[in-house]
Amino acid sequence: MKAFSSIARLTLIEAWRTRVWLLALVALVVLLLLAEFAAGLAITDSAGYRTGIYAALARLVCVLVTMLFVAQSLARELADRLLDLTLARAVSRGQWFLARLSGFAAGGVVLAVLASTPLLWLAPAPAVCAWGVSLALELAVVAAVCQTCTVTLRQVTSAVSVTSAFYLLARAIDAMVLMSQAAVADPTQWTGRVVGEAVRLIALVLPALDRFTSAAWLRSGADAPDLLPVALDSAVFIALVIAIGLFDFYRSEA
Amino acid sequence: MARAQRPLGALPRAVPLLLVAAILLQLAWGVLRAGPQAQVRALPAAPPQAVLEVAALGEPGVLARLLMLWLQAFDDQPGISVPFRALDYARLEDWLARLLALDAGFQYPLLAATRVYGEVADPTRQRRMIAFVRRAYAVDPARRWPWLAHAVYLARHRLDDLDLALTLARDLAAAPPAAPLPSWARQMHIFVLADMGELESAKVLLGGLLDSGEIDDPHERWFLSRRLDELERQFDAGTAGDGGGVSAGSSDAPSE
Repeated sequence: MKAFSSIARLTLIEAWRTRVWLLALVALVVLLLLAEFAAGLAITDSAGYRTGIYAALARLVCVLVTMLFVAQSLARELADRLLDLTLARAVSRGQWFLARLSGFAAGGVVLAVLASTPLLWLAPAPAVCAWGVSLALELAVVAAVCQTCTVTLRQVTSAVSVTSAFYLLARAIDAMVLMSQAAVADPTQWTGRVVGEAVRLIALVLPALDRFTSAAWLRSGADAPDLLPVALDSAVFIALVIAIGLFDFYRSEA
Repeated sequence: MARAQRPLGALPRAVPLLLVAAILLQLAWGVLRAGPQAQVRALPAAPPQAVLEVAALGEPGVLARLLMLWLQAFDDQPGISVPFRALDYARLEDWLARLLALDAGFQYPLLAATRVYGEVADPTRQRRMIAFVRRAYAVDPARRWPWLAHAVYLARHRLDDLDLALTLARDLAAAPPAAPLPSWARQMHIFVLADMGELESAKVLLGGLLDSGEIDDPHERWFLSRRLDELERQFDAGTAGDGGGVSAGSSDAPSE
């Protein structure tokens, strides 16, 4: 347990020393200015422009920063053979994997708090809290996928590319399912049926990220979001990604 | 380079079991999880032109084309097909105007206004689209005349509003001489007048056009001359039937 908490804590210390937080902070400040600029241009609904633009872009920035930090941190550990040193101690591969992921998830929580704080001045506090919790869960999903990809592929470029593709697909999968059921998709064509079934099958094993961290939650008068499905979706999918990652990690010769 | 891998038997027993359990759990959750709900979304208000200019990142033409595709697909939202009549045409017109302002050479918004959104079975919305096309034509007749010609067709055959069709056709006829309008477009008002029963006016205009020497294509001269002959025959029949004292406009009236 001590090794677990040490590895998780070292991950957070690494994030502090490599100034990832500073990068995120600068990006969030720039986004705030951009949102203010857009709100200034809008003739009406300037508050909606300000909140919507900041929230949507901050979410993307946090995902991108998380992805890059996870991939770069793990790739360096693997390339410098630091992992061999760690595993030479009384630390199992499973412990290392879960501890690193916990550290990245904790970093995601810090990022979510950073991104949510300015929104407290722009939107109702309960909605901002829900948005922040959802963002933290989304970042944990992204960190899990990116960690598994990096440990498996061992390359930053490949890991980030695959994780980005996963992220885009998970954000679009609900719309794709609906489109495959739309009237324009000809059900008499076998290709249409096959594609429709394939999309539904892919949707079964992906989290519906388009239902996470929506900027629409922050509009005044919006219904309170139900975070339970978001939490369940995250937990089940993270468990799957951990299982895949551990399976591959245990099979590989370090 | 392929990485060396341990045999499956070397894995802790819990790891493959965890993988199978996680896959089953994910599949079960995927089935139990509520499916995506199709919801009709109202067309959002078009953002200010300045916002679009900034969002274009120096590629306004590309942004206009992407937004046009999005706008065109808006009536076919995922899982739902929204009838045109359910669209807010005031917002739609704003969007079309913004896209046209992003790229003045982009013809797609005008095509969509006349041939897609203008085909809706609602005269008010049709007139809104025609008015939009007419305003756009006034800004750039040389490039946008085909869409005003479509608008003449819409007014004549969809709205059955010959006065509006004539007004639009006269706009076409009044295009600057430098604008590369084909003569059939410039002559549309003649045929609209003929449709209105204004045979004498149509005859005079057509005769004048033929006499002016602007028509140098022999086939076109033959076609228009034949059309003039037809008009003259109709006009003569009309005046003869009415005792020679009735205007051309009454030629379509039933004979006593």
